[in-house]
Amino acid sequence: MGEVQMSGKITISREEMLHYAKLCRISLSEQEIDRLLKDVNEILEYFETIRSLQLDVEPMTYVTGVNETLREDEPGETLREEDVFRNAGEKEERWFVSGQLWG
Amino acid sequence: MVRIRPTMGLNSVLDQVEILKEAIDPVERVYKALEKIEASRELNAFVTIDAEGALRKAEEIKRKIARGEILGRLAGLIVAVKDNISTRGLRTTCSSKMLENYIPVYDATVIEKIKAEDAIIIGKTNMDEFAMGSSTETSFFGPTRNFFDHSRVAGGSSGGSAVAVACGAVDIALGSDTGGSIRNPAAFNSIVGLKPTYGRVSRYGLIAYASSLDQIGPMAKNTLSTALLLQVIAGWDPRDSTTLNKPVPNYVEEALKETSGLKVGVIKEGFDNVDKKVSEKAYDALEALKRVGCLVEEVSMPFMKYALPAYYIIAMAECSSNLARFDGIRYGGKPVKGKWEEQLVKIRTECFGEEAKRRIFLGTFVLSAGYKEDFYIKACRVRRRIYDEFKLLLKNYNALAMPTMPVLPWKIGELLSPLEIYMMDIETVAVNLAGLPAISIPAGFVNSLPVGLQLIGDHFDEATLLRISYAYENETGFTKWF
Repeated sequence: MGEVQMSGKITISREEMLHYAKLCRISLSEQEIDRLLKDVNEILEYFETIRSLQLDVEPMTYVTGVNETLREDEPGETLREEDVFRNAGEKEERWFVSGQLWG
Repeated sequence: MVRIRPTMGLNSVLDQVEILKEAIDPVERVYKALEKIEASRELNAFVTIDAEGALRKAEEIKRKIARGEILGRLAGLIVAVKDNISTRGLRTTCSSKMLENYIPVYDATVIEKIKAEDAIIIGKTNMDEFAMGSSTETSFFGPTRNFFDHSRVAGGSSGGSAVAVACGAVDIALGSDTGGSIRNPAAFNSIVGLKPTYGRVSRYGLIAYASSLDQIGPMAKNTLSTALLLQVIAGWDPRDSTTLNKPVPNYVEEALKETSGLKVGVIKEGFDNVDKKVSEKAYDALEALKRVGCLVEEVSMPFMKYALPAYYIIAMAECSSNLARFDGIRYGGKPVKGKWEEQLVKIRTECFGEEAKRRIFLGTFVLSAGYKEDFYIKACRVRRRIYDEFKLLLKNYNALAMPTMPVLPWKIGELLSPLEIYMMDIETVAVNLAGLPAISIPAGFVNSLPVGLQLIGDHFDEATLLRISYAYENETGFTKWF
């Protein structure tokens, strides 16, 4: 969680930074943490310019709206098996190999 | 390399741009292009060069000519493609270590289309990593250099495509524009770059940065080549549900139309944070628009100043989600050993550059519980206000104008803080939030460095932008400036 300062500004602390880095699946060196902390808090301060705005309009996520794109569920052409695995780090027969998930 | 056949009536829709095929052998053209690329190596415009593929295509066109077959609309034109657009069998890296060895197994829709029109793809161009940047400095393969001053940035993120066009190695190029990435390097290298309406060009096969803002578009030295390339790539695609099924006008024909009486609104706020010398050049360009019959008057867009923070919040939020797919297992070919979680962290930590990490991180933060309303939702509300302000102005004006960039191309490495670099997008991002089309056209030079003028049109009205651009090109002769 970020922190709401007395001034009402939102900033991120070192501990929170590690929490969010974990969510992103990115690890940071001590040096990187210092630099990122400085950059991120500077950027968040800039974002404050819109945080305080009172806006009585609906949020817009896409400009084109939702299109009617349903089609019949018919089998069509698809990728060949050899193509699907072409960029795999590692494969075994018809499977992608990943690291160990449990245990 | 494109010329209008004067004898043809405006009715002959697709065939009015003729390549000088009778004069120059396409194979010769490929060799010439390869020589130019080699001579301009220092500029670092290309990540991958496909000499073999280009020569194969040129030979195919030669055979077609010999057999008297109908040629595609881009026959013989040499094309450079930004390295975030998937090309089957041709390495596509997004200028990232993450995709250093990635070879797409399918073509993006725009690639299928240009190939079908007999374009010759000569290579893939350098860019900011995953299109996250404004100067092509965040590329894993090093920065692209400005054509006019090699110690300065090319602009970005489509810097490689812009420089490939400016140095004369290619006739046309494809770029992508999420917050200005076509217009910015076009302005910095004195070429034409057009960001189409969101939904005009298929994004299928474009490696996503921010899906609600990304759009592929054409770049070229002149208006008609830009129009022609747009015409080829535009249109509905069942594989991209955000494309709209609207007819594609003949953009080349549209560009030739008269401009007298067109109303151009100059956005006052678009000059607020702009270098004085850059502003002066933009005003000079507006004078040229008056000379071609446009009615130019000042307008105001009070919400313009909120576009930049809103854009960054939305783009970062979307990128944090889009880049979650890069785990090294399915693309990029990083061997996987040990525990999955540890490997995932290792691969992402090693293979994403600093700027990509920063945006993923901030995107994750602004979407997190407790802060979503403060940042992401607020930014989406600002987005609606900006959209509404633009639409209101575009009821009364055919196009809106402001400078493309607030400054001249800066020295490579000169801007150190990320926020300083984000500020360089202050003129371009509002257009992406509203999904509007916009074009950057050359507006002259300050101390031998290029300036661009930006024109913004209504949704699906690229035609008017091209029309103004072409009249302005004839008035100023900008294609002969270098």
